[in-house]
Amino acid sequence: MSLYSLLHAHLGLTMGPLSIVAISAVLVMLIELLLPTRFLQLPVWLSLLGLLVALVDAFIHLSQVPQYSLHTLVSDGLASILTCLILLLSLLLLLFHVDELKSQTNQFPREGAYLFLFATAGALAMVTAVDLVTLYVGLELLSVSSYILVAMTRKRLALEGGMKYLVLGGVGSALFLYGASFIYGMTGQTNLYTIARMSHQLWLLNPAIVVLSFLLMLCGLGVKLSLVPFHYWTPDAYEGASASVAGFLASVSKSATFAMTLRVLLYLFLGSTHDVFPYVAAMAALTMVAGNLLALGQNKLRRLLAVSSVAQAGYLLIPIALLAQATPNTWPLVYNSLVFYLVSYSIVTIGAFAVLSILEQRYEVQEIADLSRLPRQYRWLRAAFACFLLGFAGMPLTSGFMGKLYLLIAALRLHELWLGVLLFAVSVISFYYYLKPIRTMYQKQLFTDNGEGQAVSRQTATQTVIAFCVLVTLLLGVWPGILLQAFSHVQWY
Amino acid sequence: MVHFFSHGDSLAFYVLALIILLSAMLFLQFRKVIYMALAMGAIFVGCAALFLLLGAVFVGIAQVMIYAGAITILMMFAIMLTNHEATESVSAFGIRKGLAALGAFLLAVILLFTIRATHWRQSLVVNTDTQHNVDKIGFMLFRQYTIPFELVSLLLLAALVGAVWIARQTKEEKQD
Repeated sequence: MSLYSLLHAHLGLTMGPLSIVAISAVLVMLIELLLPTRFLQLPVWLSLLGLLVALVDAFIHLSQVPQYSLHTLVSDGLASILTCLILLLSLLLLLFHVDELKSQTNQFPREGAYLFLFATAGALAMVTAVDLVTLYVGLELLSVSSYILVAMTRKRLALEGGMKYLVLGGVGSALFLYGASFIYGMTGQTNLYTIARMSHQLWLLNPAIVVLSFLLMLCGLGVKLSLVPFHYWTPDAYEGASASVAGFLASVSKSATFAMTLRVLLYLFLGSTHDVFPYVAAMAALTMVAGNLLALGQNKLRRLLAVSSVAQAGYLLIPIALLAQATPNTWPLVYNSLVFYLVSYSIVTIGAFAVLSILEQRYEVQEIADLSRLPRQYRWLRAAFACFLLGFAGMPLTSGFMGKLYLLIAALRLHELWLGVLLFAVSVISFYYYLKPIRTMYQKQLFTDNGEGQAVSRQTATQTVIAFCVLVTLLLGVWPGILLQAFSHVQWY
Repeated sequence: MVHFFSHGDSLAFYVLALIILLSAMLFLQFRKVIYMALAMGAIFVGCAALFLLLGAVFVGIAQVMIYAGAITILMMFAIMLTNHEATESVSAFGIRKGLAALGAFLLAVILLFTIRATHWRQSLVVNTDTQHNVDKIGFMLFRQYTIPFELVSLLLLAALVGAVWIARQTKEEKQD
């Protein structure tokens, strides 16, 4: 890289949002140090401003021709769309984090504001990088910030969840790195494009080690994605963390890691897709079935959402499993279905956690049975929660249904119908446990509890987030074309 | 068997590997935390020697300085300042542990056979020119790997904030 090429690199296009988020993280950190303690919310508002600027920057450049700079960062379709998605999700999460700071029960420190930004920067690096080293550093930046965020409230449960997440996440990183090191050992390269060109030859020469490194990387990423044999940290971390952090783990962290999984596995194992990706299909099936069965026995709302996110991770793995049969002509189908489901699932998740944070702060709702204590006048909150739960389950007219339908179509067209059928079969099971909280909310109350709950200031920001999520969930449910038509113009890779 | 030892390097490798494995087993056998930290230091030094043997001088010295030096010493300080008397209780050998041992053994066998059957890229191996070695790492860091290098600084910053936060938290709890 000479000075000439550095001057001509499209750095603004490929790393504009990433650098804006990183710089604002450092700035917010410095400001937070100097700020008197009474300005509790100011760091969060500053972080929100940084995210907003980055989002505008990412959105303006959405239609630009993809660029590739410094052999590390790209701005292809997957990178730009996921950048916008991640920034939007972080924005929503920080917005309802503002209200969490106000509540007395939570005691979340101000430092959380910029840790969210560090984590977002890591997530952005994961979706824009095409170099194994950068991808790994991005993954670690996201993970380390998440471990801290989980443990940040002073509760015992939070520390326990954070510790479990730290230890298992470390194992996941080690597995991923071990698998990647085999690929590096055979090729001497860390760039995904270069390795993709060599991958067929690699497969012909050393099939055994290629399969081994594929499995190691899949398991490593599987820990981060909470796929089934590696999901043990998930309920504890989600239960211990504050609602916005749990929402972050379930939406931003998952979106970034799925995009990275798709990119890394597809590029590194381009020459052997037919032979290695069936392992992903097996894992997807296992995760779907086990995740749904585990969710049946949950009584706590947090744990229910956590285990349901495990099941959803199984659904999200289907497009990646479909790469076994896909040819470059049908890759857009895989990308479309994965990103559409990610959008729909993340928005629904954030909405559900936003409702949950209000319920927990006002009524200390923890178990599903506690939902019956909800006073009559909270019609809007109940309706929103029901909408999100039905969205998770995949009820028609919600985005979850369209996402699942699109996955089914993708599976049908790529001759892996069994995955699509299994998806709908387990979705039927999922209706049972998603309908349980709805039934509890709407059943006739035996005794009327006229308590106002805890006196909490009006949670305007959280209400806005909930309204936005309901709107998107219903809009994508009746008119998915609004997103899918846009996707058809995207040059994904 | 003879050709393994025909080279001085191979002999050194087997001796080092033996030391590392022994330290690792001792690490698991010890019941006192402070002994475990010492065994870990021995593993780090052994790995550093392996790096030196491969000609990766910079990585080897960094391993000694950071892992064997800083991390082990820091850990021993932490142990001595807190609960240096702590011992791990001896747990019974159950069916779970047996299955875990079987799984680990199978994984090791698979890894060993697969790695030995692979054609590794030869040009990567051994470059004993020390000056050149460090130069090359510098060039790599500031040319090909500029962006991850910058990202690592963010990572360390986040980890530092987290470590300080968690340490401060325990201190405040003590005062309560």
